[in-house]
Amino acid sequence: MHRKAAVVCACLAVMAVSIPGAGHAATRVISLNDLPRIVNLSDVHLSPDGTQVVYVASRADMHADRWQQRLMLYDVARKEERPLTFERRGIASPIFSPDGGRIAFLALAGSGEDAQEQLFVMDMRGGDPIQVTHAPQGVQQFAWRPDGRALAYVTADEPANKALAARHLDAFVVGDQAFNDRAAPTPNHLWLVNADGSGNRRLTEGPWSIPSAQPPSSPGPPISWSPDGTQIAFTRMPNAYDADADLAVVAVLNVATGTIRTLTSHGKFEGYGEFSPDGSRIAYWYPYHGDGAAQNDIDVAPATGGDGVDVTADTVDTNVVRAMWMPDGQSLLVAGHKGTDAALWIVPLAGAPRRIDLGAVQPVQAFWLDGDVSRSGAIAFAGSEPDHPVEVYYMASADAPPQRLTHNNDALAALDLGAVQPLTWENEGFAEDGVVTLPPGYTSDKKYPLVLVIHGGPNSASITSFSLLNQLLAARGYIVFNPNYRGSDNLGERYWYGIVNDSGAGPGRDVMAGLAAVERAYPIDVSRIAVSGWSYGGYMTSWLIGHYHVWKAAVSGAAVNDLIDEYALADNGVGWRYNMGGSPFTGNRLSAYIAQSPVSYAWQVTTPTLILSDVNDARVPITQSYKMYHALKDRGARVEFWAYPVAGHFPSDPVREQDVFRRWIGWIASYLH
Amino acid sequence: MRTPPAITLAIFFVLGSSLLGTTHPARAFDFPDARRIVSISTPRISSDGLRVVYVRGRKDFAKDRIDRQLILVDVRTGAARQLTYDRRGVSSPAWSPDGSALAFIAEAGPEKDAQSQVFVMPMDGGDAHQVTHAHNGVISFAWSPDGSRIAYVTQDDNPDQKLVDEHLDAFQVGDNDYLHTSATPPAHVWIVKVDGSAAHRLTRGSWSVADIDPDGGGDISWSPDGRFLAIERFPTPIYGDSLGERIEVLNVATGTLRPLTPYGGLENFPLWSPRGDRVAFERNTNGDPMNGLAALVAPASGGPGVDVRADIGRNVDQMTWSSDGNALWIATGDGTREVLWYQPLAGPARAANLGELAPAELGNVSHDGRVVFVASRPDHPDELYVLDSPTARPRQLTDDNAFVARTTRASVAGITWTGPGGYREDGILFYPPGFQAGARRRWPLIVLIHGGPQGASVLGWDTQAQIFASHGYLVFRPNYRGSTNLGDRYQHAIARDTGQGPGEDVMAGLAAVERLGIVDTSRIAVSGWSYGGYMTSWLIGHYHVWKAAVSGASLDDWIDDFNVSFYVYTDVPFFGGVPWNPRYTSLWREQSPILYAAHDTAPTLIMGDIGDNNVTITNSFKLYHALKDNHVTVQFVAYPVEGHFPSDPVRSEDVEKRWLAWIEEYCHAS
Repeated sequence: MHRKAAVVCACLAVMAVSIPGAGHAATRVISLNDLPRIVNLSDVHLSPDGTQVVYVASRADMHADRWQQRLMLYDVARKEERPLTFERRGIASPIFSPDGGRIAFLALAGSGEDAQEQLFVMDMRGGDPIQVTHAPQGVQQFAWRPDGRALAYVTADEPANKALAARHLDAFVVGDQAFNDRAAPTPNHLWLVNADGSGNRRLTEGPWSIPSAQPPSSPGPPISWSPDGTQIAFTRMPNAYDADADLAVVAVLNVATGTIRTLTSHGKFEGYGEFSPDGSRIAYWYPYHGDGAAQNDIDVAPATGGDGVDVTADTVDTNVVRAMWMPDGQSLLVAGHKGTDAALWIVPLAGAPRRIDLGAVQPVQAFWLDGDVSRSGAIAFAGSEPDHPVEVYYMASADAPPQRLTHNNDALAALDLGAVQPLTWENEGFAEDGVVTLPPGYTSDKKYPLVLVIHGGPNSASITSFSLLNQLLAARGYIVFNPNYRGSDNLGERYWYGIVNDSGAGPGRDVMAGLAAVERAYPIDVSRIAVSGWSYGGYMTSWLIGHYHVWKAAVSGAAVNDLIDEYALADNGVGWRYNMGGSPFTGNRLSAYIAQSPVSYAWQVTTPTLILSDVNDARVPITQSYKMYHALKDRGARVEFWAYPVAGHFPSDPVREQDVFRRWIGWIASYLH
Repeated sequence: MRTPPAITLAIFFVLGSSLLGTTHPARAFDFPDARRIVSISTPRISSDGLRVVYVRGRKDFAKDRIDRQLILVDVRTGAARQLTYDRRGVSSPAWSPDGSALAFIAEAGPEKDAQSQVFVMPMDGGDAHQVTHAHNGVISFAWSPDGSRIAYVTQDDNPDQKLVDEHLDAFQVGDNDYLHTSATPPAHVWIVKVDGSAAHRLTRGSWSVADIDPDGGGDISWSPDGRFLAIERFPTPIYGDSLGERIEVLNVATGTLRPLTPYGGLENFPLWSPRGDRVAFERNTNGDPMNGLAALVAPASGGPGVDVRADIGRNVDQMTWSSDGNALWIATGDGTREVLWYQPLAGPARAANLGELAPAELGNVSHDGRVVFVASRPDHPDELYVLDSPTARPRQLTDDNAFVARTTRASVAGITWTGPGGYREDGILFYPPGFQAGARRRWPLIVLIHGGPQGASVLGWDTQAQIFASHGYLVFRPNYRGSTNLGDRYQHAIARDTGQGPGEDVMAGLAAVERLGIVDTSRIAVSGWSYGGYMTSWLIGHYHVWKAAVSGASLDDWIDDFNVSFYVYTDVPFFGGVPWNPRYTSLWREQSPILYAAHDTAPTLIMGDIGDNNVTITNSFKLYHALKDNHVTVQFVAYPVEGHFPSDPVRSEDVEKRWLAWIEEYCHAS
């Protein structure tokens, strides 16, 4: 499976805020106090006939410090919506039954630390949803059998040493996993259960595994039924250690016999196989030319087997984050970044792709298009506009203009928001781009301080979607610049590949060229420039303060500062061998890893720097922030390091999230005045 | 007691359960026997010299914990009586000055919220009553000389607790280890009447009384007139800043503090002399943290200290005042022996005549001059002993581990050689049961390297080595430069030479063992934990004589040790400068075993605790990936627990079993 080591923070991508009853809204700018009014939308799915949209709405409860979730049902014709759930937690993946009469979804069952995600089926004629699974390790994903009578689902095996572990014989053999894991992972396998909860049985077993979600990243590769209900396409990796998912392939299970065949001869880098509506083909993810360092393409193979044809490489030429079959079975809805947009294409199996005209609408594409295609050909997705936070958008067909269905965040959109403008420049043969957000009330008559907010990934992109952090900074009177840089996933294979074995220097020059372009295009006070970012954006920040001395302040969050730590300690760390040409511990590669690690240049830093990180971040281990901290402190630079005692790559609760933004903005404000 | 940055571990201290009244045919000492070994610690003799209390620990494998209770021993008869039952967390027994009561620390409160508190037990009958009710538990305590009050050390509350409860719990990082989840509040001195009333704070501030993590700490010592307390003061609550630790004198009435000496750092373990005129403390010789700890005595009124053990010239492992205040009892390594010295304040030291005994823990001294201590013999685990005078022979007071005599044990001998640089070096050799000198047979060898590096392998009971030997191995425990048993020059020689020199020392030792003509040189394994793991990782990267290796909680990357373990600045003396200063970076890197891992060929078992803040598991992850990526046979087993070694009986036995099984797989002695 070719799921890139996503060193990124999805939370900074698109966020939304609503201010119920804020009639005075247009007279004021956005502030941190608006953050608790966020309504986040996710998991958008369509009814088979395309007339209803179901999605998950999440509102911050600052008192309980958690997100209150509700499953929402929107009737497209009546333009009405209503909540379907009451006080449920952990709601995800609402999916209509093939006949449209039921909705299956995941939600937490049980209480406290023993609560697990389980599969529920809600009858749309009324009645309590039935809990159809009682999987000890919880349900990761599921798919309706086409006849609607049963569901296949994926759950992890119980640990083989469970009884021994209860007696404290819980030592475990470590594989390619995170430094803070406290057990070996167990394989994920396919099970089948009837829609009424009866007939639960295992379909697959063995030491191999179906990859699970490792946020922030794409979700675990969905399982896909053949239309006749006899086969399931799924993604199979050789063991349960998720960092070895590069060796994943698309496999097909014969449900009746239990036999499994692999689809192609590639042996690695595949995933996300989906049967075409007529069952004759399987579309799946595979990198350009089968190169593990390349961007993700979509290949289509005969369902009976074969190596498939790349249908996106020379046509859309972007890193594809999702492909869904259109009902005709002759084309795919393909999602990916293009320039400063999140783009959608209709890609036919033969012939030229057609880019869908979305106007200013930017679908949410944080490693995955959060959207759906109905059997009728309607399209729905979560999306935003530069001046409007996330809502549900709907297209009756691929030819229809997107229509904003929901109004969860209208009040925020009515605030005095900063204008968002794309910016392009040339550097070293690349046509590069980025996004500029201007302060509300911007005028070219005066000079403005500038804040760089650099995206993570590195294989992601800054686009002209709504950005809460950009708007919060702009509201404080800063021009905000989000540069893309080689390694970004918005300008095609050559740009994407430009970061391979050039983790810092080339991308750093791209950002500096972008900064020069901003200074040419806007009235910038060059004595007041700050640089900041989270994750790989933190890497870029740490790199830039070690190489350039134009910064008045820096915020380096969850930063990759030491590529050796990242390789050896992160949950998907060994994937860095594709970016670096191999392991740091073989050949003479250690020196390359050191040379491309920002901490190696920390002794040259003079910028006052705020370091932020989660103590139990498995994606970018906090060890790297400790290294940067000690280097800057011993050098005599001004540095503060604040750590959040939580797990994850970014605090996931509203209180700490607000605290991160407060410290980020506060640090910059104290130096840019 | 604070040692220099000691990546060390007293894992194979003996623990276990006793056995009474069963008989076995003699068989080699093995894992089931190790389970039954009883630990003996913290002996304290009453001022009249008639009674000793100590902490006895038995392993409970069903509950996977060590049950520690207080035992009282009659010094004349050896009759023993258990004083506490079913208490948790029992430690630190201390007699009241008049001997009428015993204070000790035990857990109080419901299990999940249990905190260590001070209890006082009347020794004429009656319940022990809880004296302290410290929010955050008691780290250490000391009776006032008149017996009316108890001074104790406890950690301050987190001033931001209310915010933390609201999840505004981001904390500012300093020189703490990477496993921290909150800022560390300082520890301070409080005082309370023995009846539990009138508890109040004596000190406050952002500085801290030396904390318990990782070096024990919390040491406080009363002046005999009860007016002052000598305390061990850290500049911050963080160990990584502790090179500046010093002894200060606290005026109990006024709360004012003054430093004892002009040194400004590296001082620890204050002990007020019984005469009241002096304070003894430990400090590295000449103030160089790479040297061994000297025993300094300074005037209580303040001033520089005098190194009273200069003639001994060995690192002070433990010390206590003689009853008349004219001398110190000092335990040090000396070659292959652990020696108990009677060191007058002026004049030459006399070694106590302990025969084969190796002192493991020095207790205290009664008014009439009796000193109690815990000691082992090479063929017998720890027991309690008393010396009635400096010239007396030791008397054994307990026989808690008598059952060991019914097993066959390895015979043990010291071995010496001349190492590189002309050092006269040494180590310990364990012979498998059934070993016969002069036989043609050759034996597989396990090299078992101590941690520290400030530590030493000396003649004494060694559970792990005994078990390994009983499985048919010669076991060699080498000392190497940096070890504490051969004086400051040897101990200091590891500075800026943390791998190569020590590695050559071990290899010279191995050659000396091989010259005995008893080693099957095709079956040699190398292994160690902590700095012994460092040595193992270093040796497999530089020499290719190993059939198997076990690298436990190994330091493989010095740069990690500085940045993410609790050592931080206490590591700097090894190299002379911080690792990110470009002048020093290559020194830190080149002396890290991970740099040479591509040369490894020996099948290697890596072990470590996920929650180890001493030698962090990050080291093991790097070694694991390096070996795997170079196609070396490797298995990495992690324990999902805190600490530098699993502290519970089940997991600690599991470590040793995996250790031996890995070596058996490749060297198959049995």
